[in-house]
This record gives sequence, structure tokens and C-alpha cells, in this order.
Amino acid sequence: MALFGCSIAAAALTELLIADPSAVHNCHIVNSYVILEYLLTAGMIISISKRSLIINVLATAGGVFVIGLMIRHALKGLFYEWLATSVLITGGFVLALMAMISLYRLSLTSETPLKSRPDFWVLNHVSVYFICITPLFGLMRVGDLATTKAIFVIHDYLYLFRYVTAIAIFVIYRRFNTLSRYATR
Amino acid sequence: MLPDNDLVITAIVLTLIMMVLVSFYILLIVNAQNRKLRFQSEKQELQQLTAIEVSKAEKEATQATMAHIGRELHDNVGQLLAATQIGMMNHFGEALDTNPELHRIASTLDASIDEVSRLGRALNNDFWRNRDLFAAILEEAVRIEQLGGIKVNVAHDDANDALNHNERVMLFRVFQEIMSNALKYSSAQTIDIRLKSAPLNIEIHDNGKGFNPEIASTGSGLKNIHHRCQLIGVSAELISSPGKGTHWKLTRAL
Repeated sequence: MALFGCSIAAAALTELLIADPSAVHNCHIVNSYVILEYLLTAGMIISISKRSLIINVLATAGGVFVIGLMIRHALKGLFYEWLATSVLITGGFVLALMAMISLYRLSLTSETPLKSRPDFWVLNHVSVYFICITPLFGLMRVGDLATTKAIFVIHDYLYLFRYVTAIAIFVIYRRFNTLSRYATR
Repeated sequence: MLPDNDLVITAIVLTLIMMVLVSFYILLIVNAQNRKLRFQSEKQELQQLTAIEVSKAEKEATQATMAHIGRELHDNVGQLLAATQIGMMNHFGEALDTNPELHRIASTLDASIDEVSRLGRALNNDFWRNRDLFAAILEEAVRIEQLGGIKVNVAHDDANDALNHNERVMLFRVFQEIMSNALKYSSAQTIDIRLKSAPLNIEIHDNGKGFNPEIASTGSGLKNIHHRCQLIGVSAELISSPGKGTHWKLTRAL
């Protein structure tokens, strides 16, 4: 939950305070944040799906690949010039895949209804958000600057979904923790 | 500069398609998990029902066996002893009263017939349908006192016990277990029994050597007492410590 809080805080800080709304003029901040987001989200999924070999392997392989792509992007001299969409798409896909696998595992092992578990909503939120950004960032470099800005607006709505889900997760987490405390008494 | 509308619409549609696909996947997972939980809960219910049925069948079988033994004792062994008594009376006549040896044998035979008859009644389950628990406890207390070596005081109210047949049998067996433990292990001089009907409250106190319940709690006798009481919704409280006797309190809220 701490990782989730950090992830949301970092996202909010980058998107709402530091970065340009269209992420066109300060790509280096968003590019740095992309790596941080990958690490935080992967760490979160790993901690939710304890001792899962497939998740650990996916997270490590994805991490190496994403950092490699970002280094390649930087070596091309594009770190300050353009959003590393290939990193975003690849990292997003790996994170969504990990979240979906974890969701499946959670459904097999959970003894309580999924909708009452905060970890279900965290994984849900990661799957929806990271799968949905794939076509957005894929199409971002196809058109001109005006099209890119227009497409980025859709991304803002996804962010809205992200924050609303985050609030719901914190509410459920509070309730779930209170119930767990009573249950263990 | 205007954005390329086709591209923007494509992006929106693709995003929506992705969202629908992921949502569908999540819904499938939630549904599958709900079905799994429902199945588990049904399985658990079924297991509980089976356990209840098995325990009912075991109880019925035990009761049938005990009733059979009871009838055999009463009708067969009792009749044989009665025939022996009649035979003795016919054969020895007045000598039974004049000869001290014969008189002692006849008395022992009388006591045996009474004991077999009592045992037969106690084992016969049908007998409990018309028997009050407090009356049975009183009778048992008198019998224990007659065995000698221990004084049993019983205080009770006059109301009926308001228990059903099963509860009476179960509580009487619990009472027997407690008394048997007291006789075997406590070395008590006195046992005080207090009976109250509404709400049901049975207190049994002996002034024996007592014991540490935490050390002795692994014994099957104590477990049986607690288990039987639990089955009929009666709480069994045991207070005892070395040198301070043993106190049992069986209560049931209204």
C-alpha cells in the first residue's frame, strides 16, 4: 500500500505540477518518471503476488528491457526532445500483463470476495490504466503536434480514472484493515 | 493547426476497446471467484449436514443398543433373578428369616434385583420420555449415598425441568460423569448438588482434593462433559484448584 501511495503521489506530482500538460516541452521529466513508475508499480505487483516466479521473472525481464529502451532513447539524443513512447508502451504492457496474471492468481487463492479486497482494486486499476495507454502512446507520434495534444487529452481522462480508483482503494483498504483487526481479535 | 480527427477518433475507439476487453477479463475473474466461493460454502454446508446426519445415526444406534441391553436386563436377567428369589422362598420358607446366612443371601438377591431393574430403566431410552431430570438426579444421589463413604446433599426447586427428552438424557449423562469423577478421584466427604429449573442451573460441589483444570483438561471425561453440554446449548463451567474441591456449574440462558 505504501508503494501504491508513492506511485500515485509521483504520478500526481509529475502530471499535475512539474510536467507540461501535453508532455511536449518537458519530456525529460516524464521520461524519468516513466522509469520510476515502472519500478514502483512492478514492486507493488510483486509484493501483492507473493512468491510468484512468473511475476518476478516478468518484472525483471521487463525492467531490463524498459531501462535498455530508455538508454537507447537517450543515446539517440531524444531524452529531452521526445516522449519515450516505446518505453511507455512496452513497460505498460508488461505491467498490465503482470497485473492480469496476479488478478488470476488472486481469484484462485482469495477466500474473501474480490471486490472487498484493496489489492484486487490496485491490480484492476493497473490493468485498465496500462492497457488503455498502449493505443494512445502508439498513435501519438503518427500525427502532428495538434493531434498529439488532442490524443493526450484522452490520457488525462485515464488519469482521472486512476485517481478516482486510488481514492476508492484507500477507502476499501481502511475498511479491510479494520475488519481484519476485528477478525484477528 | 487542427488535429487529425480520424486519428483522434481511432485513439478513442482503441482505448475504449482496450478498456472493454480488460473490464470483461476482470468481470470473468470476479464471476469465477464468486462461483468458487459459492461452491465452497455449499460444500461446507453439505459437510456439516453429513456430520449432523452421521452423529444422529450414531446416536440412534447407541440408543437402540442401550435400550436393547436395558430391556434384556429388565426382562431376562431380572426375570431370572426373580425366579431364583421365588425358588429360594419356596425351598427355604421361614428359614430365610431365621437363618442369618440365608437371610443375608436373600437380602443380597433383593438388592441385585433392584439394581438390575434400575440399570434396565436407566439404559432404556423410552424411560426418559416420562422421567424428570431432577427426579433422576435425586434418585442417583440417593443411590451414591447408599453405596457408602460419601454424603450427598441435594437442594432443588419444585418446578419441572422444562427440558426435552434428548436434553434430559444428555444432562443426566453429564451429571453421571461428574459424579463418577468425584467418586473416583476427589476423595471427597460431601457432595452438594443445587438444582434450579428456570433458568436451568445445576451446581455440583465436592469438598475433595481438587485439581488444576488446565493440566487435566486433556482427559476425555472432561472433554465429554464440555462436548455434551455444547451439543444442547448448556455452558459447563469448572472451578477447581488443588486442595479446594471441585465446583461444576451447568447453566442455560432462557
